[in-house]
Amino acid sequence: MPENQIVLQGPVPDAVSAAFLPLEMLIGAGGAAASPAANHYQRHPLSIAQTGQAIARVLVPEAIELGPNVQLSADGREVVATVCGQVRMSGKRIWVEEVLEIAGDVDFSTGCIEYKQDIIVRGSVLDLFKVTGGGTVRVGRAVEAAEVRAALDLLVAGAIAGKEKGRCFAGRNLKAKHISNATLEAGNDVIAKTEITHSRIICGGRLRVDHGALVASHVTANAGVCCGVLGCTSESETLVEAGMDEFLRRLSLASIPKLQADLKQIEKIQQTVKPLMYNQKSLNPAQKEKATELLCLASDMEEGNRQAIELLQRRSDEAAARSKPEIVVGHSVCAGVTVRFPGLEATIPSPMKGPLRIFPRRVLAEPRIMVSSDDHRKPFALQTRRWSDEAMDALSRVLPGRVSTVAS
Amino acid sequence: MRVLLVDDSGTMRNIQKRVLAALGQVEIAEAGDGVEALSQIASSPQPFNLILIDWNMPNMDGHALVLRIREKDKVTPLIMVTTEAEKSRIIAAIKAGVNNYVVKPFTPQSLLERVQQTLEKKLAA
Repeated sequence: MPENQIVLQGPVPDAVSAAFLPLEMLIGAGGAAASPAANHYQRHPLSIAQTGQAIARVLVPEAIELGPNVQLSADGREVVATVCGQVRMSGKRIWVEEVLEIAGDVDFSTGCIEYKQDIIVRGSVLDLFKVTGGGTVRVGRAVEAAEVRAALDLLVAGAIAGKEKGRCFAGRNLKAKHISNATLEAGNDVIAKTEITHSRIICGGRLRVDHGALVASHVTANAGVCCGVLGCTSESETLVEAGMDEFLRRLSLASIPKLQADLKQIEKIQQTVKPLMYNQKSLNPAQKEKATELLCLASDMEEGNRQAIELLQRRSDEAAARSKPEIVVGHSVCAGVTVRFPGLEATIPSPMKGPLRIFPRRVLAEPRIMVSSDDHRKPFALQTRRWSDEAMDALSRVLPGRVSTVAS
Repeated sequence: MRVLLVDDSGTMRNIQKRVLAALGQVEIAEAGDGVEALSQIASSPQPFNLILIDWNMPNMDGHALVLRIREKDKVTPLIMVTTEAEKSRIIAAIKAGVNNYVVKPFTPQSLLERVQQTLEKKLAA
């Protein structure tokens, strides 16, 4: 017989001081965490509630305190979130915060973040992690070789150092102190405080590095570019496209081939059905049903095409309204930089001192890329080449008279 | 609005469904022949607001179906949608009680116009 051993010691609980849980949580850590298949990047410890979701069962009603954005269910047995957000508890208080705040870095301790509203990351977003926000995303330090998507603004206090893998997307503006080796897309402006190097930048608005350098990068900015220094003396290529909307270009490339194929198909159907419609009496029932099918198919395709053309027209008008084909440089432009405007291209032949402005203009009916600067009394022309843009050429054929380029 | 589509061709019923979708909120029931249509009408908790009927179907054809429906129901609008284009057939269908007659091949627009015309007449009556 073994000797008696003490495994637990302490006062006997009584009815008054017995330990209790005032709430039983009904939602746990993030969805991906619950899945054994999720990898370590996807796991996160955050409890995210949807609007109207029961987040906790009330065990001891008098021992809980409801904070903002929560209420009791009609029967008083559950705590329900009144907004979508992060569930927080402190002592006996429970509440939901609309803004998701990460106190440190986005790393293995947080996993990848996907949230329907604003996100604040106090630290950095580390390599290979993803942050997706339905509102504005603020990053207190840096974005490394990570992917960050914000439906509204993306505001990075430090650098976006993409290491050739970093990708950032913002529905509106994208701001950072320094951008290097990254791919960036923004619906409106991209603003960098000090420098942009070795990056691909696409923006529907203006690209601004007001006092810094734009170096060894490929930029497409619909509302123009403004920078301190453009290009560098090394052989790294700098290409700046101003007054051109890359998003419209992509939409055209994606939708116009299908549109043209559908038009051909519609024409073919019409050629097949037209003679049959003139001679309906000679058709047997099966042929009549087939003809109906073809007519309906053509009608559906016509409707699809009408909608696609409407979308292209709307986007084209929006892009044209925002287009500002100009490059403004405060300090200097290096030789070798290629500048493009709709239908035109030129390479800077020799270094130029700023402040200066590069823009397209018709000179004696001939489209030219011009430079105006304080050093020259009159604007002078750069050696200008025609530049053919397959997507925009196709778009001008679909929307004749709506897509204008300086060259046309 | 509740509509019953009676046609032995699933493709044709799908075409009619797509056309009727332009009317907005439409609840659609389908039958592959006249017998199935009668059973749907009998078991339906609410009366149909419109019935589209093909002429040539197995078990019970569209003409016979119209006659059977009109024995009990004189008000539900019925549209014959058929390949039968002869005058005698059209007259027979109208005599049986159809409110409108659409000959295949039709375009989606022409079918929609006939449906709207029929429903407007019904409302005005």
